[in-house]
Amino acid sequence: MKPSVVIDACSGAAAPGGIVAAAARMARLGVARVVLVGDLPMLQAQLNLVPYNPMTLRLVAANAPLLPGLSDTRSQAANARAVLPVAMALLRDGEADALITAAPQDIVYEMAELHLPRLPGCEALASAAVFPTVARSSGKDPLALLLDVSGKRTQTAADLVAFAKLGSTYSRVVTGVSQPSVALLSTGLDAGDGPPEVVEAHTRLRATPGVRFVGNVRAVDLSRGFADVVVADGLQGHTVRGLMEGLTTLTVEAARYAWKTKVTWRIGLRLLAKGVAMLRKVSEFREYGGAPTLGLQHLVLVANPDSREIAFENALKLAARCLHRDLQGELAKAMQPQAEPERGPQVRKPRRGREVIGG
Amino acid sequence: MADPLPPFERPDVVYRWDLDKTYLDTEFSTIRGLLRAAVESASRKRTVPGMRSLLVALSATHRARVIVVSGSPEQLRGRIFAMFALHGIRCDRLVLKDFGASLRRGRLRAITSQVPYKLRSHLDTRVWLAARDEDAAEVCFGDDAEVDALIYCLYADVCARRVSETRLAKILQACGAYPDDISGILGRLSTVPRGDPIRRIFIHLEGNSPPSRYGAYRGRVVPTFNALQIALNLAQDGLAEDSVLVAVAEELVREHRVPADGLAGSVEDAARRGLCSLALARRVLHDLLPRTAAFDAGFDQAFGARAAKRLGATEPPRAATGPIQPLPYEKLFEAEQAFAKARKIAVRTAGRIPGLAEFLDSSDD
Repeated sequence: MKPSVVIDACSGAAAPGGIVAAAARMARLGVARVVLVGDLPMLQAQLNLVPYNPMTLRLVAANAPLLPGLSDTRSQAANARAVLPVAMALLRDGEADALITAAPQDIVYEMAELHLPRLPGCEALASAAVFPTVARSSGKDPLALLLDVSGKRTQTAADLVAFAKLGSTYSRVVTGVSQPSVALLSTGLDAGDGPPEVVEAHTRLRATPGVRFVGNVRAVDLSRGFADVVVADGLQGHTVRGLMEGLTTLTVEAARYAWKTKVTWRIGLRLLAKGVAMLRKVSEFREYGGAPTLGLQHLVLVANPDSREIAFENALKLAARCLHRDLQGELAKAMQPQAEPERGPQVRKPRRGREVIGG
Repeated sequence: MADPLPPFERPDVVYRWDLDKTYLDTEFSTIRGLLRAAVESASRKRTVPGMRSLLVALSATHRARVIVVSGSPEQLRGRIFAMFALHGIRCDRLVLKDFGASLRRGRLRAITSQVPYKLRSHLDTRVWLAARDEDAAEVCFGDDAEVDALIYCLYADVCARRVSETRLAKILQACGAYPDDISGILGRLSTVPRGDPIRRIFIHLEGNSPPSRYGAYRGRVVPTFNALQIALNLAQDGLAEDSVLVAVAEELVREHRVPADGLAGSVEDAARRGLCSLALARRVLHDLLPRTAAFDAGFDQAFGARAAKRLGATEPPRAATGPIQPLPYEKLFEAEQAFAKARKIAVRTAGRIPGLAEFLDSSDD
């Protein structure tokens, strides 16, 4: 039987029309069974405009107080606080296997802490995000994983170590990289660089079985593809992610400006069209399929609040893939205290220049 | 045509069915599908999920005539009768298209055009019923792959004389009828008893249609996604008993492996779109389905109770019913043609969604 995925249909810029259309299409194509949570009359009105199949797409009511799609954060937070408890109850009751939302990440974090059980061994939750890098040795996937990006200060080294295990397992299961490389985001490359919890986490990660720790990485090196998974303090991660998204927006705006301003620039962009499309494919965060909030017993994927319709299609495919490959089971195994190492810890030599790997 | 004798004096209801994509899961739009339909045996013919049980259960609980008017070739008559016999359904009239006659007369348009052929056939069967002094209400079943909604509405308007002869001639011309087809249909009108026999027109949304596609029919057709929704709508008006709902649900679960949330989703959708009342939907979810084979698919009391609770208390607005007015058939026909064209393109390109094939491949590993 196809997995069942619940979607918060009142979150993000694509709500509700884009989300409804994406969900209906993916459900009809058999990617997953979908449950949309939100204001019923509004969702039904959108659903009437697209082909769908009620056997694979259900609606569940939540009293979203405000119209979705509003950009102000107070509206988004109010909607999320109304919809997410209902969506999470469906996960708890076993009526759905995964949740997708484009609600603000801090609200998702807060609601998940309140309404969903954690994986044993996880004291804190890790919100993840993906970011583009240059080609990494581990494979063709242009996106690496950054966690935690919740915006909350990560308190202990144990949490950072747990995040490394979670991120490594996620990367292995979802991207198929057999031993993903894991790095710690810090201020410098040496083992002693950074705040005390990062220094301690560095020491502990070197001795953590099942995690291929490659040392510290600086913010400036993130996009250079030295690690498949980068573990960061929640506040730092949040800042880095925001900066990356801001730069992408700036680049797109610059290209638009160039297109409008000069004919020669327009011709140049035309000549570069293929390359621009490729660049856009990997850097357009509004089209990513979302990233998980790890440390929960259920799969929760969070898409960017500005996500487009296609992002929800990608998120559904990602959720189906995670469930098909039993991500949650693998995460639970990884967090067991005596988890058997797949291979001992290994510090990899840098591919480019000595300055990259610390410790 | 064989004329089976009715086992009862007067029927309560006439079930008027289309065959392909309404009752049978066929693909006549492709050569391959056409060939397959021609050669496969009666026992191998696949029905649209739940439709067989729906028709069997409806026929068992009512004194019903079953009339089938299909665009399938006449050559399939034997196999189709054999199939109905296998399903335990007595088909009183089966009208099929004589492709051979059209080809011999060089009338290629008659092969593809449905409106003149089906309207004439419906009128003929109406005359056949009248000859037996039978004027039971009719429930019509069609699908969105062809122009069934338009044909059934036009049939109702013609029977009720809501459309004048002049106007009918214009409509038929717009729908691609040959002049002698038009005169043939107009000639029949005097023998068709006056009155609106149509109680309900169900359109099975088989293709890429959203329900809003039928908004142009001003509430005269009921778009449904599956047999369970049809059963719910009929049950709402006392035209189907619980046994019909149970039979359909059991076929869906046992033969088509529909999971509990698939059943619940269909009932919820029917309630939201006003096909049945919240009270009926709640009773079906809470009391009826957990006592059927759906229980084995996970539809237990707790699941049913949760689904029933989620229906809420606010009855969705129902479409206001006023006096029936004839529809703008020429415009509707144009819209239907445009939709059919778009549907063909959508079906052709469905496999080309970027990344989907790769995803489906990789998720099987």
